[in-house]
Amino acid sequence: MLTHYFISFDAVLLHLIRIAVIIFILSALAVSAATLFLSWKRHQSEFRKNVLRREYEEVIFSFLHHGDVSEACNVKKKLRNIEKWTFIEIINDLGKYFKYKDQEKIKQIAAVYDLESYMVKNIKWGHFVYRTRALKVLVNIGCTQKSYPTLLKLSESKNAVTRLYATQNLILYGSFDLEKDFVNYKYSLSLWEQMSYFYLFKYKLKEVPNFSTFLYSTNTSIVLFGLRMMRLFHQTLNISSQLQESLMYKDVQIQMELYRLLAVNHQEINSDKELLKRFNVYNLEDMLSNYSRLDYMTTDIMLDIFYRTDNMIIKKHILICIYDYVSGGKSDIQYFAAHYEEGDLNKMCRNLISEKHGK
Amino acid sequence: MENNIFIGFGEIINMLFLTYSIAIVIVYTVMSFVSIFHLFHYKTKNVDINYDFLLAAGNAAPSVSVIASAYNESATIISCVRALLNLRYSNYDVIVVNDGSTDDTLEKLKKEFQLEKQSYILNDKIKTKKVRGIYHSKNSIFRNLVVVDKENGGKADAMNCGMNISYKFYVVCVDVDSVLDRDALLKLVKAIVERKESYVIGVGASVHVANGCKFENGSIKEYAVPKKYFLGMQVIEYLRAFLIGRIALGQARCLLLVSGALGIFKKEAMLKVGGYLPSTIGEDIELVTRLQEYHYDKKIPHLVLYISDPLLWTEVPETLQTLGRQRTRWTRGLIDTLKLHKRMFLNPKYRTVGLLGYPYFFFFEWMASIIEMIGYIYFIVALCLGLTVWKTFFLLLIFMYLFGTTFSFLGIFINEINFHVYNKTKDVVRLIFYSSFEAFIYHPCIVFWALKGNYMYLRGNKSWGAMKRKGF
Repeated sequence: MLTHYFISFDAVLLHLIRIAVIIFILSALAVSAATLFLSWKRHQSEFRKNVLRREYEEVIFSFLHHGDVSEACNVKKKLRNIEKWTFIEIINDLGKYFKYKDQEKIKQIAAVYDLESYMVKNIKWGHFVYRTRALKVLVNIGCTQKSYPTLLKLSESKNAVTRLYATQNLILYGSFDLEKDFVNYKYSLSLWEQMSYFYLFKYKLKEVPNFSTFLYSTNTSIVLFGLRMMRLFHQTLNISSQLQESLMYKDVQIQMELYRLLAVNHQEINSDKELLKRFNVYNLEDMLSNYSRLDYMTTDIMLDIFYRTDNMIIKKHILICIYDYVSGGKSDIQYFAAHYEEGDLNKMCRNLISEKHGK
Repeated sequence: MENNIFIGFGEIINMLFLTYSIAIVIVYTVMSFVSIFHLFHYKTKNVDINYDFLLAAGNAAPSVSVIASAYNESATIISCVRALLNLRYSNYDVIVVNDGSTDDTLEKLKKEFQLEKQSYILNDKIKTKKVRGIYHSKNSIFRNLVVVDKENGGKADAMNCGMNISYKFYVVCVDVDSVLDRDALLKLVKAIVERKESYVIGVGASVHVANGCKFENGSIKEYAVPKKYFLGMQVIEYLRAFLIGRIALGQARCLLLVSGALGIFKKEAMLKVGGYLPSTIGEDIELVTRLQEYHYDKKIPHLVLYISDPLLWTEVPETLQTLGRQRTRWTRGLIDTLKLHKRMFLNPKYRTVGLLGYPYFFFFEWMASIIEMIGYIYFIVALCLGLTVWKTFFLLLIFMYLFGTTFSFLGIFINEINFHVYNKTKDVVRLIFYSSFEAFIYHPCIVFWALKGNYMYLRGNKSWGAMKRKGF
């Protein structure tokens, strides 16, 4: 019975293996042939693209260097049939870095070729790759009423990348009120998105908004975004003490960012002793090491934190930071070791110095 | 009667081998599909990524320490450190740990980067061998370089020492004998910041073979496939491992390995688990496994990610002897890790790591060579007893050959379609040609070294073995 079962099973198995062998022969041939074809094809297309790029760049650079804004149509006369994405890539790259008059010239070239309509077409009907690419290009070449309805719709997209670039376009177009619309923003902003907005605010906007309004948002990521932007754009914290207190208790990351902002702005830290206890030790150590390396950091500011915490590891780390990084910190530590009799500070400074010389 | 018993016994063994083979075929096929699907999605999402704002972010970008350990790397150290200092990222420092080199590695560094010894208080969060000195450069151009001179304690100990020195939020562990892509930090950090930042504890990336490439000032000028067969085979092996295996495991959230040659980790998480374990020789796989275990034990949400971009180019062994040493070490490291963390095996507490990742490494990475060896012995016994069914044997042999070859071709194809690393078509032809012979030349050697690794582990051999490097 068992032998019979194995014999019939062997027959089926043999048949299956035969089929699998045929499938794999075909697969191996197909995959290797496709790989070779792709390699050859890509080599060819890259060569062609480089040739076209050189040709387009010659005409565009000549216009940017010598031409007037009104002479943008001359570019079209010289380059009638263009390979659109190669051409757009050049315009986009230039749009990223050029400013003022040159930026206007780039926009003129885009207008002559009606690149915005082409972008809108890609945004509406193109594959995700082309849609994203088109949205990024619009950020650099500028958008008008033509693309506004599409962008408005996409600013609510479920896809974070699409939403990011659509919103950036709306900000540049002027229809997105930064101080109001971000407060009610319902999506969570990743650090990646926040840094992308930072770049936009810094290099593309003439005026930076007042980020303290962001702190009234119920969306934690927006509050974090606001605090980070305030720190990076050196805006002082000017909010009610109640809001400051509520932020202190909201979220560990918010606490950290708030603390960093206050430290950078030399503002008084409106907190109780318990606050530092809630920080993770490693986060705090990192944070303190970073602060102490800032130019304006003084021994007094660091000692202020020293007295606010009961955590001996943090206390020790603060003294290390003062000794290693704070300007004049080394002599301060030596002074504390020599002059403050008894007390934690004196003992710890003496230990630190002996440790230091011991190593 | 006795003959019938043997035939019955043989049939059962046949069934076991068949089940294992079918499982391998299914697992690798599924992994291939997952990788292809993921890469399509990944490339779609990451097309034309603009890293300018991450570069312009300055101190707003997450802070990173690049830690490289160096032991007798005199030949390559200067170009490698220069390459590390030239990475495109705004908020990072480079910590080179001279792990008690007996050659002039430290002297070369001191001279080239105008280093001077500084008094420094060490925060011994992780115990390491004694630090002999910490050096900073007098030249402000190299202000983000820190060189640590310590007693020899192995790679893991050196990395831990670097972590003690670092005051950044993330640490990138690299091999100093490798070449990092200039955008490596940007790409690794992007993987972290585009998600909920506090969840990501580690990110790995693809490592490719640098042998055969042309170098200039510590960076790759021209990518090429090495001409020697055993080097070319390692290229294919790396492509297959990183572009199929690692991606699929990463997608299933069950990565147990982030290559020791390149990985970014959240420093806080590393310190919590005590850093690398110096007593094991597979420190990279052990660390990630321990990180996963710790976070699941403490019920802390976390992610270990993998990105497929080729970010690091490493020099692989040129000689068979060195390659053999490397592979036996890998096997011993794997066994050590599996043994140390055996409670994760099929344990639902560890989710996909316990149910998929660990069993994958157990059955298909460690057991594969042993089962293959048993298969060879069984075949010889059956041959001696005249029980071999030649038709079935040849069909199975052809099938396994075709399966392995197709899988290699697929790795080359995925690399070509997504990254197009090798510009010359002749390089792709060479790779396809090499992989056609893998089953007959390269694969038996790999199996032999894996078995040797098992034997050495049983003998308690924990030596690293000298690795001869030609340098770039």
